[in-house]
Parts: sequence; C-alpha cells; structure tokens
Amino acid sequence: MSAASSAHAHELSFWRKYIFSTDHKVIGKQYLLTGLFMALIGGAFALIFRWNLANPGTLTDKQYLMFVTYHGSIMFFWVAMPILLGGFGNLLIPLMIGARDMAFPVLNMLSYWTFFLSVVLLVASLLVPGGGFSGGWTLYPPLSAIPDLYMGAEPGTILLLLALALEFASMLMGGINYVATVFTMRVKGLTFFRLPYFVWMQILAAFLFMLSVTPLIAAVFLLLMDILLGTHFFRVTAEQAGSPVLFQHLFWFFGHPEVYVILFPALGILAEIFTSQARRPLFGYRTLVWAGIIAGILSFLVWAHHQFVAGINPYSAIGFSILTVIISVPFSLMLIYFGITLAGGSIRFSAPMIWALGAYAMFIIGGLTGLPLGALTSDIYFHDTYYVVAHFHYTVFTIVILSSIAGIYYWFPKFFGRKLPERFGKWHAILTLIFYNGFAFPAFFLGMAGHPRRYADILAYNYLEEFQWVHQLMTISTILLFAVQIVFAFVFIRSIFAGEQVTDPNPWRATTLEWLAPSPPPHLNWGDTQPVVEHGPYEYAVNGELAKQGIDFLPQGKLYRLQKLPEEVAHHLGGKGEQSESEVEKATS
Amino acid sequence: MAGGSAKGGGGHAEGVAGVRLYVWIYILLLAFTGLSVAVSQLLMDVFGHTPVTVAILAFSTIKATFILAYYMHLKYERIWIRMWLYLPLAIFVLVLIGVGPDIYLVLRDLWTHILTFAGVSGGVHH
Amino acid sequence: MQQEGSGVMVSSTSAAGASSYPPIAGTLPEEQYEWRGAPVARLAFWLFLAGEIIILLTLIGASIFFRLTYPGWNEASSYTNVVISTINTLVLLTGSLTAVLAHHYAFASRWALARLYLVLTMLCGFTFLGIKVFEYSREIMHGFLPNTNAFWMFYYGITGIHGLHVLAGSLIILGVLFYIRKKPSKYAVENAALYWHFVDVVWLYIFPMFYLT
Repeated sequence: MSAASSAHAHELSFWRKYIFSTDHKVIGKQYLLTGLFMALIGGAFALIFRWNLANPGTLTDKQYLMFVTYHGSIMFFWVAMPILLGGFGNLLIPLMIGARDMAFPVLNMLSYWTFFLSVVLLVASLLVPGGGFSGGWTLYPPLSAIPDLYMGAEPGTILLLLALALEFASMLMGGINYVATVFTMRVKGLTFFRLPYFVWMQILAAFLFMLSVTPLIAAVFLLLMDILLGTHFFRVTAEQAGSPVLFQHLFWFFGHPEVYVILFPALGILAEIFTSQARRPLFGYRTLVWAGIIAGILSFLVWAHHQFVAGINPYSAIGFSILTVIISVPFSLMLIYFGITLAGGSIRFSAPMIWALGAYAMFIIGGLTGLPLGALTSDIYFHDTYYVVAHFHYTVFTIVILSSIAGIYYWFPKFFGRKLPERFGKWHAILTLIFYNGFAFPAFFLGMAGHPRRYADILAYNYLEEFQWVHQLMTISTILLFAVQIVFAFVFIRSIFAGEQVTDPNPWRATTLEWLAPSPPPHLNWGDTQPVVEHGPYEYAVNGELAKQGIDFLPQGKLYRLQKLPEEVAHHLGGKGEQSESEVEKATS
Repeated sequence: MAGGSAKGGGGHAEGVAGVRLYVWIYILLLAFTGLSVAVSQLLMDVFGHTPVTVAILAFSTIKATFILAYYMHLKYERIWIRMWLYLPLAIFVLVLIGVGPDIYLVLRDLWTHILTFAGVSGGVHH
Repeated sequence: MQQEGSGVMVSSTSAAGASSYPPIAGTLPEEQYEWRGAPVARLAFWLFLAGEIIILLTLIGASIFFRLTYPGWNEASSYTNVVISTINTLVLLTGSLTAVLAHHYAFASRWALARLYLVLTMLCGFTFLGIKVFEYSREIMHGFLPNTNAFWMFYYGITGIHGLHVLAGSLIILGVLFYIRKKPSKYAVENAALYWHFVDVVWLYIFPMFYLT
C-alpha cells in the first residue's frame, strides 16, 4: 500500500510537493506543525509569567502583562484554530467524505500561507520598539485604542491587529472551503445524516466562525482607525463620546462562538475515538447533531455574559444570564450521550482513549464550574478572579491540548504511516493530566478567596501574600507540564521519521471512510478507486455473520474500482496507472 | 474539484429573464434614485427629518431588493444560496437587539456628561 | 448508480487480516458525488459575500447608534455634496447594469459581448473612484477630517471601506478579464458581477445615510 504513495514522488518538485502544495493532507500537516510549534511558544510564555508569579519582581508589570496577552492570543488564534480547524479539518474532511481534495485546493494553499504571514506579523509585533501589546488578548479599548497608554506599544498593537486580521482571513478561506466541500463533494450514499460526527462538528464550527468573526473584523478596522487617524469610535475624549462597550460587544459576539468554534471539532474528535475504542455506536447520533446545531444557534445569544460588570444594561444582563444557563443544556446532553456511548462498551485503554477520557473528565469539570460564571449574581463576585482563569483553562486547555493530542495519537498512523509509541502515550496522558490539574485546580480556590487575576506583583498586596505558596505550587506544576510536552515534541518528530511503520490502513478497526485509504493516503487520496457509502458512520458491535468471524464493525463504505478515471487522476497516475491497478489487484486477492 | 463543479452546470441560465428586464429594472433604479434625491431636497422641511430618512431608507430597500432578486439572481436560487443572505441579516438583527440598548444608554449618557461639562446643555434633553 | 457485486462485503473473511484490507467491492463507471444543485463556485462566493455583508452591516449599525445619540449629526451631514454623490450613484447603478449584462452574455457563451460589458463595468468602477478622490480632497480642504466629529469619522470609515470594495471589485473584474482569455469560465464572470452588485447595494444605503439626510 505504501508503495502506491511513493510511486509518484518524482512528479512534483520539492517546492510544489511540500511547501506550496495544494494537497489537503500537506496543508493539514503544515497547519498542524505550525500550530504545535506555536503551542510551544505560547506555553513558554505561560512559563515565563508563571515564574514571575512565584517570584514576584522578575518581570516588570508591562512585560508580565505582555506575556499574559500573547499567551492568550497565541493559544486561541495561533494554536487552537490551526490545529483543530486547519490541521484536523484539512486532513480529515476530504478523506471522511470520500473526496479527493478540497473544493478549492488553491484557496486552501492561500489560506495556509495567509496564516503563515499572520504568524510572521505576530512575531514581528513582539520585536518592534516598545514591545508587544499588553492590554489583554481581548484587545479592550481604551488600552488598545490610545497609542501611548501602555508605554508606547503603538507599532506592536498595530502589528498584532493586522496579524489577527490576516488570521481571520485565513480561517475564513478555510471555513468557506470546508462548507463548500462538505455540501458538494460528499461521495455517493453519504447523506448529511451519515456524515461522521467529526465532519458535522467541523462544518458547524465553520458556520459559527464565518458568521461571528465578521463583526470583529469591522471592529478591528474601526480600532485601527482610532489608533491611526485619531477617531473616537471606541474611546472617550473631553469633547467626543465613543463607546468602549461597543467594542466589547463586537469582540464577544465573536469571542463566545469562537469558544465553540474550537470546542466543536474537539467534541468531534472525542466522538470518533470513543466509538472506535469502546466498540459502540455513537448513542443518539441524530440527537447529538441537533444538539450541536442548537448549541451553535444559542452561542450567538449569550455573548454578553463576559461583560456583566462592564456597564451594560442590567436588564439585558438578566436575559443573557438566562440564555447562558440554557446553553448548558445541549452541551450536557452531548456529554451525557458520550457517557452512554461508553457505558457497557468493551473499552480499549489505548493511548488516544486515555487522552480522550481525560479530556472528557476535565471538560465536565470545566463545564460545571462555568455555571457560577454564567449566573449573573455569582459572576459579579467571581469576575476577574482566578476562578475565571481556572474555569477557562479547564475548558480551553481540554479542547486545545487534551483533545488535540488525543486526535494526534489516534490519526497519526493515518497521516504519517507510522505510529506514536503507545506506552509513552499513556504515560504522557497521565503525567499531563496530573500536572495540568496541579496548576489549574488550585486556581479555583484562589478565585473563591477573591484573588484577582492579571496582578503582576502579588506581594505588593497584603491580603494576597498568604497565597504565595499556592502560586509556587502552580508554577512547579506548569514547569513539569511543559517539560512533559517538550519530551512529546521530540517523540513526535522522531516518530514522523523513525516511528514503527504501520502497514494496516485500519489499525483501530474503525468504520469511517478515511480508514479505507492507504496510510498515508497518496495524492488525490483514492487512486483509481472511489468509496461508496452504504451505512451510517458508527456501525460497531454488529451481530450476525461477521461477528462469528470475529469482525465487530461494518466499514461505512466500500471501495469500487473506477472504469473511467477523472482527468486529473489519470494525469496524476500517468504511466503508473497499470502498476497501481495491479497493486490493488494484489491487495484484493 | 472538476468532478463536482461540472455537474451543477447551467444552473439558473434558464428561467432568467433577458436583457429587456434588466434594462427595465435599471430604469426603475434610476427613478427611485431620483425620487430619493427629490424627497430629501424638497420635503425635508415639510415632514421633518426622521420621516424623510425612514422613507428614503425604504426606497433604498426597494432598490436593494430588486438588485438582489434579479441582478444577483436570488429569485432563481434555492435555499442553499439564499440562506447566505438571510443568515447575515439575522445576525445583524441579533447584534442590534443585543448591543443596541447598551450602546444607546452609554452614548447618550456620555454625550450628556460631555456637553454639560463643556457648558453646552442644548440639544440633549434626557 | 451502477453497483456490480454489491451486497455483503466480498472478502469479509479476510477483512481482519492486514494484507487484504480494504477489499474492492466492484466497479463504478465514473466518479459520483452527492449534489445539491448549487454550483460550488457560486455557493462559495455567497459564503464569502455573507461575511462581507456582516462587516458592512456592522459598520452601518454602529453608525446608526452614534447618529441617534450624537446631537450634531444632522448638521454635519448637511455639508456633504448631494450632486457629486448622485452622480456617483448613477455611475454605480450603470456599472450594475453592465455587470448583469456581462453575466447574462457569459452564460449565453457570447464572450465578446461579455468581455465588452465587463470592461464597461470596470470603467464605471474607476470613474467612481476618481470622483470619490475628488470629493475627499474637497472635503479635506474644507477642514473635515476623520477626527472632526462623530459624523465625519463614520463618513470616512464607511465610504472609505466602500471605496476599497469598489477598488477590489474593479481589480477582480480586471483579473477575470485576463482569466477568461485563457479559460472562458462563466462562473468567474458571475462572481465578479455578484461582487459588483453587492458593492452597489451597500452604496444604496450609504448614499441616503451620509448624503441625503
């Protein structure tokens, strides 16, 4: 099987094959690797300011806030988005729907390189005179709108805003591509309600992103005008009234759906891993899809719960509080249904499954601790304390790190044709979970004790001195957590080149279409065959003839040989057409 | 990819009215533009600012509807295309409802303070 | 759909063995995909337009709230020039007519006419921009700058971003003109025309909001 992929290696030049490639798998890997690299940078920033919290005075206040700001921005926009949407979306959507590539391969390439440019601008914004922006990843004016308010970080602020705009543009291109691809390029028999849950979650995420990010793009445009032309859309001067609250609204109108934009693909990854590792059909597949759609719609109606104390109308705050509590219903349903899927399954505790179970457990903590923040009265106490920090680390760290790494362990054989070491994966999961709780869980108690976040020097306040040992504990946990991920980075890179080879295209005995393709799938994915879908996506634990033969699953579709190849495929296979056919022949016999 | 886009094919070419209709709509658009300008210049003092603004925006909406329906062919499209007009409008309404009361309150109060501070209390009565 | 050898998996017995998985179930005459009637280029372009619509609507919505609260709005807006802006409206509407005709003739495969009307649309775009630059320079010379007051910041912000869209639309048409010389694609023409109409519709609201009232 792997020979089929290498047969055409000479066809494209190195640049076209690995750098400016239009192949969705190469672009997906580019996104994935860039995202993982940025995760190391974002993690290192966290380490730096965490060190300052344990040893106050290491950083100046401005430096501390800058690292906090960039940690947040990087983890949201340059880690979560590229890994979960750019990486997994690109790698898996075409394979899971049986397509040969995205609907617009060139747009796809453009999307990645726009993203890359935004990374360059992000790094540049740190290096310009005055340093990076330090007003928080939420970019609230007036901190961001008045140039010299934060010690002359003007060029850094502008560059960060431009980097954000480019990142949004890149992800918009990706989102358009995903929706167009899934709407029009599903293989025969793959109706919408036969799509794997992961694909559903990806297109819902793309929908949410496309509809929510554009107000923020407009806001960023106005903010740039405020900085560059001295207008007052978002700032108040002695003569003119602008509205900082307007920016907060536009930001959180994006910011809240954005959390679900990255959460949905993570839930999709969990669904795929749970079903294949527990050998159970996904419980209530249709209900889960509708729950996702309803949660997506509701996510547009809850944004102002981030602004309860920002001076918004108290009556609308009540409405947003109620809607926020309502949105926990579809998510509770999703998690309960995942639990029912697991209940009674014959669970294989493989490395991806341990990661996924960890993510599941952590996400329950994250979800439940969100309720006091969604309820208006308790939020007024918890607002801007470490409780908020703990809550969103339990949700976002779970989404970005735990679920992504679960997905990486699960699909690594498919993408790279090699395996990540299984034993290491289990230890990696367990250590990560321990150290992660070590830094995130104490923060709940800090917050409940009234410890405000974003204070650089906590020894400057008498009432915070007693928490110093907690900060030291959290810092030690963070250092250990980071160290484990560094080891993983080495193992990851080593496994790409020298991991144990996987000859079986379907090592997990999973049902979805991507496991029908060779590992790694060749350019244009299916060679001279095409899958045709005959079942729903999760036909595990089947009875009857197959079960007697020890096969407990029905692949979602079957491969059919094409009598007439599409022009592009024929051109790509070229003279090798016969050879690859005989190879398939050999494989079948 | 080629396999996909080839089949959608001719799409809406059939059923779309010809050049004559386009020219008629163009004339209609010009007429409404003239009407808007005339109303704004002549009737502003008669009916007051707000009714005239609303009327002219209504004219604009009529013009926009014609362009969207005929020039942009939404009249001949299915829901899979049309919804990309409806969803943004829904989002717009949503943002207005959510953002509106707050922004209005904040800005109104700010202007009151600023004008009072500057000693110009005219124009804003709340 | 033609399915030879459909039914139970052909070599299910060996499905557990790594070497023979996955089996080939039969043959298909050619590639087959599900389809929903919307050509993919049009669908994608409307997705893009949806984003653009929200950007412009957000700006216009923000201007509505500033207008409702800022006491000097009406007075400030009376300084804008109705004659110039009416001419610009006519230019854009004419561009819309030529764009839809280009679209029409592209779908009728009459490429010479389609090309002609595309060129006319592009000329309308550049005319609009020329008049706009003239108008801006007049206003700046009269001392109306983006930071003058709430009206002028929105005026420059919204007409500025609209002007950028007209520029983008004209450049898209230029690109399409080159593209269809090599590969006559009716969807390329259609998307360029759609973009133009969208820019036109936005102007239909900017015109009354900043010039007439």
